[in-house]
Amino acid sequence: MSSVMQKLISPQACTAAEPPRNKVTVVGVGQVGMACAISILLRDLCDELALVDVVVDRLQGEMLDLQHGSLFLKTSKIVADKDYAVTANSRVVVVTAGVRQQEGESRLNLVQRNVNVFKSIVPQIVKYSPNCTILVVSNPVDVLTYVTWKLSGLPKHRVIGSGTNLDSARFRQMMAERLGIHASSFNGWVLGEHGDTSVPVWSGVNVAGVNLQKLNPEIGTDADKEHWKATHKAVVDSAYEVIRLKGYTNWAIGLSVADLTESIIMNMSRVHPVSTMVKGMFGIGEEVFLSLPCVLNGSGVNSVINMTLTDSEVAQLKKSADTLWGIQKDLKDV
Amino acid sequence: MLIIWWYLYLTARSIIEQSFKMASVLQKLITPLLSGPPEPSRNKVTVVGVGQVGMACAVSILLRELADELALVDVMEDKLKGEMMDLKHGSLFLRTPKIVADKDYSVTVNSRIVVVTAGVRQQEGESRLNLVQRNVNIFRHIIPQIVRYSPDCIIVVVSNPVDVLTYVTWKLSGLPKHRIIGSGTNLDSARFRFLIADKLGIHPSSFNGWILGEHGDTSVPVWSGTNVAGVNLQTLNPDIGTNCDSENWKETHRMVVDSAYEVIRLKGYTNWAIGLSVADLTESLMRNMNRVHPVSTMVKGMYGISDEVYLSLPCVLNSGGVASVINMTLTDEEVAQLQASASTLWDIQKDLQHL
Repeated sequence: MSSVMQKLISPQACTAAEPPRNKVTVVGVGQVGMACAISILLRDLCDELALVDVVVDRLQGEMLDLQHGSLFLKTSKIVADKDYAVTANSRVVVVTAGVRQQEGESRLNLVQRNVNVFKSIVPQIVKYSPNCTILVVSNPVDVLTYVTWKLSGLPKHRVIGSGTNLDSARFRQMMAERLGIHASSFNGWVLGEHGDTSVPVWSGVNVAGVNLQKLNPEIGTDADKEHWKATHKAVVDSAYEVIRLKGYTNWAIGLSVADLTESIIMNMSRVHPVSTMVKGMFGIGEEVFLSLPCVLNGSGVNSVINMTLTDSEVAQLKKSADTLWGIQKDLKDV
Repeated sequence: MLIIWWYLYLTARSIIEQSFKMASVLQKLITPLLSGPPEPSRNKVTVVGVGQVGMACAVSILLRELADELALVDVMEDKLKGEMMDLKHGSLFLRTPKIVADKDYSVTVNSRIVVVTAGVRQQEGESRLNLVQRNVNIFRHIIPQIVRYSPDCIIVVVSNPVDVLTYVTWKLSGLPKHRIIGSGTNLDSARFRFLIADKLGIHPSSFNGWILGEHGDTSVPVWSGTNVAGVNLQTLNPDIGTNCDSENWKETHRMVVDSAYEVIRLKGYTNWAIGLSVADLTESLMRNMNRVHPVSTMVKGMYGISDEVYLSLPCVLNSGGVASVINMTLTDEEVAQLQASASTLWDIQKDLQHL
């Protein structure tokens, strides 16, 4: 009378199933959250994926759709629930929850709406994964990374904002396209605030170590005949442009989050421009999060690369810090 | 005389210096060695339709690094451009250096594989067969354009009802039947393997089970072939898949049939699983792997089927398309089910206009 399973399979290990070693949670199953999830799954980064959201039908539907693809994946456990217990023991938690920016709405206008959402999310994350690294994606990302840090009580090296990782990726792709090379062969960093006032570090822009500013000392200025500055402007505008065309952006941000997740999970110590706590650097006196080149590994933000910036670039960072603090100081319940 | 040469020399030198100062960053940085047009792509994939399914196919193909060029086509220009830009912005993290998009099919030229996801999607509760005439009219615009620009391609049809639309594509394309493939029951089989493997506590790739025939309500689970490591489940439980099975394994197949409706009810559409399954097929085609997949192929002449219909059978896929079909040992009942599906499909197909 034994079942097919009993006849077919003889258990050997009588212990409970092994706990996951590389679990990733994605909070929020909107377009961005699912793009992060599929990119992480297709890069084979985790042995368990948990999804959390408040819209239970959609959450269940997304989980089932991913599970139905299990045959083609290496992530053997995909779970989802509105209860955060499902996220227990995550190494990395990607937060994409919150409301998205509307057409024409600047990132800073979203703030208080998203702070209230985060108050119900962040403490739950930490309760079930006290040793995790939190990767904040929701906009305005620099402010919300600060908010997450405050609400979590985690040390600052464990709270990272996706920051200008995406801006830098777009910058590298657009600059590389003008030069006819692949984005990964073009080195350029966009730092500071993720958004309208991000800072392209023209002094460091290079291909194979050949510094472009040396080839064209006016690069990035208004006097530049080649108008390289327009490329940075296109980077700032690109989110608005894609939102205008298709309603939202998701693929590029999903891929960039998988890239960051890979460095953390695989303990790679790669350098990425991500949002980290910068008080005490560049003469910034407030607790704000801005993107700087950070070494990411299994501990989170292991260290920060000390950039040589021009006075103008430092001034821009300070100005961003002031703008962000101007918003942060008025936030309630953080 | 010498003075004239001297002045000529000075003028020439100053022109050269001027042009060096006027040289762009690109010219100063990079010295081309090759002139002439760049190499054409060798592994180009086109995805027609940038809805949720099309984009899931696109991102799965990109993340599996199967193509050196990806083209997207749709009629909704803004959405098309937005999707292309969003993928291009991820170029740094990808190995597909060229991503293009246009409503004009010239952008698809020289594709090896064209994935067709265009068409209207099934509404909640709508059966796949009800979509048909709507999608035939769309395909009349799409298929001839595809073939015009990529006469040697393989077309993978995903739009539902997939078996009918694969037949429609074959007719409209004029291509030989082995180059038209319907995604068919590749996804049904994947769901089946996921659900049963889950019950057995193993990975789906370790459970072998095939669902054949029509992609949809009347798909046929071949219980006689289900096995793990060659251990046949029907031998362990001869009632498996029948109504008198005390373990009710048949329920799993019913869940497979229902899963699309379930996911649509919950999130409005399905995309991830179908996208992953299309990438799996694309990999076999692109990499000339000769792997066996349950996909929709022209079955006239097999199993006593005399109409030109497409149904899913285990097909060996390589860079030529469907290289061969595996001859299944099916029970009489399973053969009868295939024949019934063939009749249902032919009933719809014979009434289609403008093929």
